[in-house]
Amino acid sequence: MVIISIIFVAVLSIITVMNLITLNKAVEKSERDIWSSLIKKGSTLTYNNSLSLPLMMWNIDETAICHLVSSTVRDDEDIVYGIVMDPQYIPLANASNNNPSGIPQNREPLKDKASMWAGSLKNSNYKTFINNKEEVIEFAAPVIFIEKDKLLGFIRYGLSTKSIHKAIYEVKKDGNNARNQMILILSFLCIFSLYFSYIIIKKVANRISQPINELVESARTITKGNYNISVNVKSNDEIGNLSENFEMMRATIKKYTDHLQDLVDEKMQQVNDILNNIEQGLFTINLDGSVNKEYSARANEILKVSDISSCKIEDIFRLDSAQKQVFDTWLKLVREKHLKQRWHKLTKISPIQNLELEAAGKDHKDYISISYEKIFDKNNNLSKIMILALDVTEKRLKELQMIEERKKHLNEMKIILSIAATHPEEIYEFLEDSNTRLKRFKESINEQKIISDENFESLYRDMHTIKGNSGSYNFDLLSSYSHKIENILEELRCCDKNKTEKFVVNINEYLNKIEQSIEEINQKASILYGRGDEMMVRIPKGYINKILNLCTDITLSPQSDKVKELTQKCIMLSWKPLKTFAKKYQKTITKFAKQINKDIEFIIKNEQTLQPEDIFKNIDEALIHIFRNAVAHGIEIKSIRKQKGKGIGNITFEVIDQNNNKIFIISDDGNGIDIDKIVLNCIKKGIITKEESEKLTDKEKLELIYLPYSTTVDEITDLAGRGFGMNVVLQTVKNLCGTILIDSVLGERTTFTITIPYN
Amino acid sequence: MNKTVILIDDSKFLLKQLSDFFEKVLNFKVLSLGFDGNMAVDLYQKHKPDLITLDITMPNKNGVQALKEILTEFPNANILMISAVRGNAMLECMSSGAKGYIEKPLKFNDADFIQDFKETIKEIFTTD
Repeated sequence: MVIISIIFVAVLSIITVMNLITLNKAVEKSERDIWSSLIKKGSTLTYNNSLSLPLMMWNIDETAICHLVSSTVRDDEDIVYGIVMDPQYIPLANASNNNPSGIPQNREPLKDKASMWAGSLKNSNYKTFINNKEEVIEFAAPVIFIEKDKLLGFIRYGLSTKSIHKAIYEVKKDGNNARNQMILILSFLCIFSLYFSYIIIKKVANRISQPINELVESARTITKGNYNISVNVKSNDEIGNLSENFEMMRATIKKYTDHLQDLVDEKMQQVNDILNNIEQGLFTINLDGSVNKEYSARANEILKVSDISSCKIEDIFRLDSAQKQVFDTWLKLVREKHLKQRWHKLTKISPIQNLELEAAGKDHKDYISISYEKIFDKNNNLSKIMILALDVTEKRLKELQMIEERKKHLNEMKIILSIAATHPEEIYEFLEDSNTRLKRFKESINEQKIISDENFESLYRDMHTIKGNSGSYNFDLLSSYSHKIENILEELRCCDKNKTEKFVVNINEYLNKIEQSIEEINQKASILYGRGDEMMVRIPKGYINKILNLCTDITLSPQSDKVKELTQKCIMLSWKPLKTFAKKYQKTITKFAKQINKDIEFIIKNEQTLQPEDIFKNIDEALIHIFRNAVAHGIEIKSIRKQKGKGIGNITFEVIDQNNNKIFIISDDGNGIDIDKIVLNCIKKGIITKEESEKLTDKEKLELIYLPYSTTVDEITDLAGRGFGMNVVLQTVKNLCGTILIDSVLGERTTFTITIPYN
Repeated sequence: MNKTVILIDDSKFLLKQLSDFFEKVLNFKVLSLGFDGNMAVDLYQKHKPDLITLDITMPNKNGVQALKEILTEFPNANILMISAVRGNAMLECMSSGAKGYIEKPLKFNDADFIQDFKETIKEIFTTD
């Protein structure tokens, strides 16, 4: 429409311009005509005079000459003056408005510019001069007496251009008037035709452009969602081509007007193509909830209706009357508030955000996500709401699967942790009890036709016990299944206790699940507790909660550092408190001390810290020897300790984790190691010579205890003193790539520090 | 003159956060805080603030009831619902005359959330 209007204006402008050019040419022509007629007039006059004058001049009839000239001047308004002069420029007649008689006032030769020009002429001619500030064309011709071939003088007439200019002005004025009138008429025509074309086009277009505008708007909305479909008409190019030349323009106008309907149809087709090919289900509703005709082909498919345009919104969305009422409330809110509230705020509280539709031949529902877009009419009022339906089944199923998976993992983890936290006897007791109850329950359900009140209560009790027990062990799944059965029983309790088929099927379904759950717990328990003398693990509750929290965190947002932490924590599941390992040494020490009649207290520092079992297996021998040494050689006998003012003997044991090292610290508050005694013993046994011993530092002397046969005691008993112990300790530590340090103060204490690398 | 507001929520922690937000970010004067629907109605009658925010799930009297009671007495009251309740309850509040709503959780360190909050407040005060 706009294009056509522009073309109309262009055509009319060109016509106007062409007319103006013609008009100007006409004015120019009449100007030329006026001039030439004036020239012709002057020339003819001068020529005629030059023919009649010779005789008069020959006869020197001055009166006749004056009469001729003055009458000519008087008769013609254009002629300003008329002069006859002899070859010496002496005027014979000189008529003008000031001197109508033509008789020259004096006989002086004329010396003005015009006279000089005229006096030099051989033939008649004309030239423009300024005479008394007025433009005058002088026509002059020599007067020749032909028979005698004698120049008698010159005839001159001055013609004013005033009237010519006036005439030209008149002509131009007329021309201008005509032009203005033409412009006026053309402008009127132009406006009229514009208006006319507008009316016509509007009439035609209104009928067809209304749905197009909206559909184009819909299509734009689709393109917003990256559907890469452009419905823009390249109007700029069309105009550009049109303006190239007039003929083409005219042709196109014709084509445009002739094929407007075709174009509209074509555009409709385009929009329809878009609607039919987009993946999104799309349709529009009016503000009263009625469904419009246009919709995308996919919409039927996604929303599972045969023809959306013939459905009501409640059919499409599967709304019952109450839900429809809520939807209407929302529509009302949209009508009232769409100017005041942002669109996404309004659409977010629509009661329909997604749909779950039964899918034929599939074992799952189809999940449809619904979103809303606004459509404005040409007056910028909200006219329709576009509803976009997107099939998100695949995404949703994956989500559900993920949730299910997550649940399963979490549940498994919970079972493992619960089993680990519970005494095996307790768990096996629980499993046995649950199995018995389950078996009994199954039998009563499937064999008895009618459940008696008494039986009913016992069934209920059984299920309730399973639920309660499983709940207390955090077997959530088992607990939830038994809860489901409880619910079914609850329902049955208040009505007829006759079994229905549905009831049995329902219960059996959950009974099977309970059976599976119990079996799963059983399996996990036997793996964890092992069979026979395999290792058994017990874990503090707090630790289990930590792992559980980590699992939950990871399932929500997997992060590598958290996974690492969880792995570490899981590895540590098999670790045990230091106390567990130290028990053995406690026994050894206590037993040994009793044998040799010493009062010794074994102190375990940080006995709850968790430690891996493998390292204790490896270092066990070394530790035993150190502890035995401490009991045998470190702690003094009761009487000596009493003398020294020492109380009961203390042996402390501590394990420290430091920079991937396990540091075992064993100290006693006994006599310390007597270095001199070691050296003496070694010399005595021939391990070193006296000379060699004198070169040793205190530290080196202390290290002599590692040598075989070296001992601090003089007497070998069954229990200690053979001198092999410390050698074993050193070898064990070396095998584990560790180091050992002795720190001893004679009479006060001895501390062994063993450092073993451990990752 | 700063606009005045009364904040109602049964979580005291949230009230503290909201109160800070209204005073420091939105430049409101917080007149009073309340913890249930009854307090909401009483405090509105007492102070007649420019704005009152209501939670939906609250003890004694829920937000929807409080909203309706306030609007019966003061039809021009500016009420902003701030709740985690989605769907029809929020729709009911909006169609009953609440001027806007904000969804919990309140993400005060999320620029988008703050922007939305500001625009919602702007909407409430430009509709008058």
